[in-house]
Amino acid sequence: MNLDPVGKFFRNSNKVMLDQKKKDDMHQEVLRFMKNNPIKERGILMRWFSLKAPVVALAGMLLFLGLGGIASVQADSSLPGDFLYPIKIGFNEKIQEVLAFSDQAKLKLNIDLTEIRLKEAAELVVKNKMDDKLEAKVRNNFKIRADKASKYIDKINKKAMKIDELKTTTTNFEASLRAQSSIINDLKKRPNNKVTNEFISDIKDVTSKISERNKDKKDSFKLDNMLK
Amino acid sequence: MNEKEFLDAYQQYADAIYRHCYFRVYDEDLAKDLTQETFIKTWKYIIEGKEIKNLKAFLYRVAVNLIIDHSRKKVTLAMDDLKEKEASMRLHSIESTMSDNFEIKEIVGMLDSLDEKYRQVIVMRYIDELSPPEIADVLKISTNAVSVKLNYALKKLREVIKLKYHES
Repeated sequence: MNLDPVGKFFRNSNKVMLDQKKKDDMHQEVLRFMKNNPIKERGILMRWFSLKAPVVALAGMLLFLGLGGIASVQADSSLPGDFLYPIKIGFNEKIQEVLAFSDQAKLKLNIDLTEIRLKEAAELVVKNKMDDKLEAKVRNNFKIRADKASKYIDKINKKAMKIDELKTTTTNFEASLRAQSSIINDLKKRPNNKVTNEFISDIKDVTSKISERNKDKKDSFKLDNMLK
Repeated sequence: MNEKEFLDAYQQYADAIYRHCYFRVYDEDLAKDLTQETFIKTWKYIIEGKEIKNLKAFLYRVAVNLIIDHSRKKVTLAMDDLKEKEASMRLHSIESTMSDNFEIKEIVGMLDSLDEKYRQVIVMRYIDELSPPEIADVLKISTNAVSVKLNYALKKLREVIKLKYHES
């Protein structure tokens, strides 16, 4: 493409690009807008049913057969402290883990579930349902998923597979954690809130760890590009 | 489309959309604002439950429309001013908001010599590197109409380049 003189004249136009800080700042703004204007949730279970994999379709049939299947679907929108919440955590999410075959799929699942833990926390505060016992459970469940996500990031990184895709995923994850942390921090300012500083600290710790991993990947990505 | 797909698209297309906006408005900050607005407007479209068949074309279309809206707001304010000034003085005022890169300034200078409707297709073809069918999809016109505009724009551009380098 662009062998003619006009094309050659414009070839330097690709030097014009967003610097990384502006790109990240804009990413945060877009993400904040998205969090405040979400797509109507279909629930993770319904999202899985939209995939075409025969195994997922079979798992879906088994889930819907019998009373347990109905409870499982209803559990999907439950919050910590609700009657069906143990089914969501202990059954629905376990099924999804089993059905995530690759490390990339497991990473994406754990990132989704980490974000869901934070959204559940925010919803509990908004509905004035958060108490010390629930907060301890939420913190624990959040850390479990965040640690699993970090584990898969390290695993994929070590295998040096699909680094570009990993970079995008972890950048988005970091941005999402920052946005969720900001929302929960704002909710903490409400009177009679039950969100502790320790919880906010936990989220910041996880965000820092992901950011560090991201920084390492950006540096090695830059180095890889320089060596090309 | 879900959140992740949209955010992946952001990483993939943000620079390209910014570049397009920059070479249309010649202002880094304005180009950044237009780029951000492009993605926000696209998200608003998605949450209304509407389907987007070709996200890349959609993003460019939104950006193009935002640039048109911006220039319409500007034209009423600047029209009297611009009529008074020579083209070179206008370019000088634009240069103050541009990158310091000489080659980029050269490109902007060339683009500024074209009418807006031709500048648009030249930017899409040679800077955004969209094919004529892609440009047609963005602008919602026929591929033939794109080819006609491109041919005319190229002819004008070659005259300007020839004149400039002949003079220098």
